[in-house]
Amino acid sequence: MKSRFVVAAGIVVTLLFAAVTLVAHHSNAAQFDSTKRLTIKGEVTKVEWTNPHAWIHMSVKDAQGKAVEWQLEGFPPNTLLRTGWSQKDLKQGDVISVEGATARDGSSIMLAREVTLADGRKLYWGPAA
Amino acid sequence: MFKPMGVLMAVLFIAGASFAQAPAASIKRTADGKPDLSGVWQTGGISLTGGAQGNVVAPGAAAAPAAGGRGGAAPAGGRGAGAGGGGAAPAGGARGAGAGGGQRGGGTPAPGALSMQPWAAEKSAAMKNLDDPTVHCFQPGVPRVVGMPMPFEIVQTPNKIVILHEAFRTYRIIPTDGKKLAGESLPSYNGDSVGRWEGDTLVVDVTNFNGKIWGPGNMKVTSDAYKVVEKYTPAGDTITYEATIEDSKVLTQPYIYRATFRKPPETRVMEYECLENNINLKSIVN
Repeated sequence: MKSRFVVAAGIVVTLLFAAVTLVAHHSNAAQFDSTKRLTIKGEVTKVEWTNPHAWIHMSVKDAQGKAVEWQLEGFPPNTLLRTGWSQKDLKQGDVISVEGATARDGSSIMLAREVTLADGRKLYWGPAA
Repeated sequence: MFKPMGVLMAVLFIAGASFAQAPAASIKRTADGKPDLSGVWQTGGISLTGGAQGNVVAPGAAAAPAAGGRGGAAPAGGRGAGAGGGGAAPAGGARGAGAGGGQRGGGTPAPGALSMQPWAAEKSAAMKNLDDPTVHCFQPGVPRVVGMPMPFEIVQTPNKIVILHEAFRTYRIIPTDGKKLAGESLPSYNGDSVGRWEGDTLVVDVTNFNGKIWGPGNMKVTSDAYKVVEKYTPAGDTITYEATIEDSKVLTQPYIYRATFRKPPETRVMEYECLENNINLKSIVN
């Protein structure tokens, strides 16, 4: 129990500063409506660990069973590494579900927040709003 | 996975306590007796859970809205636990202070608050997201770069300090002997810095800006008369930062921006090449 406590404390302290909500570089509120949330499940088609923002591309079946390509914007990749992600956590073909804010223009772009990985782990891909 | 919630709360409490600013304590010094500012620092560090400094929110609980934070609860069992707080803020409290020039109702603006000349207030208020130089990956300039949510490293030598920012590839070379670096330089995004020690405070005059940057907060206009006096004062294991901005063509009084530098957990400054995949420009709505 004691060692578990120490490990937990270590993790929390490590995260103390790592967490960053603002994506430095543009206004999310202008592009995304944080009050209109959506959860989608699908297959990862591509992952871009790129600046200024990382992107997950996902194939999601719509109500008619037609595959729709979604683009999920996230934190800068360095922030993802600092908040517990590894590049190994996501690969093409993984089935994941993602919760996030929808685009105001109705396009298949989302500001992703919580990702549930194939193994059940939950990690933040992007900011809360 | 943490079993009893009590343990988790205790951990969060400890984390929160360690975050609190230390009282005035002996500061680290270099061999020549100057305060040692070197190391990796970060301002802000807004929490994943949306809690402000000292307002620790347990995973699973709804986060209270907090200045500088965003709402949202941590995922159950996730790595989302974290405390933090906005460490950077323009003077006058809220970011929006002075949005219309800082003289609402014709009153006198508070000292240090943003107060722009009418033409500049009008122009600033009309600025859109796409007008922000950083959206196009240009450098934020001084002091805006300080508030970016990425770490930066201060490298200190006896007569020079170099600041390496992860954000937007910004680097600054600051002589600390009070002498300007030799040779002519063109107006630039980060200007020319000349530093000197006043007791334990590093004071840096920054001039020769290009008028293409935004100031902090809602100062979205600057001119070639823009200049900044920065003060870096060590305080325990933090650094108190204050930037006084003057711009005779834009402001009606000096505008003060403040931030606290804190040491992030073990990390290093990494590359942030903003131009790599800046596809946002296609989809940004103003």
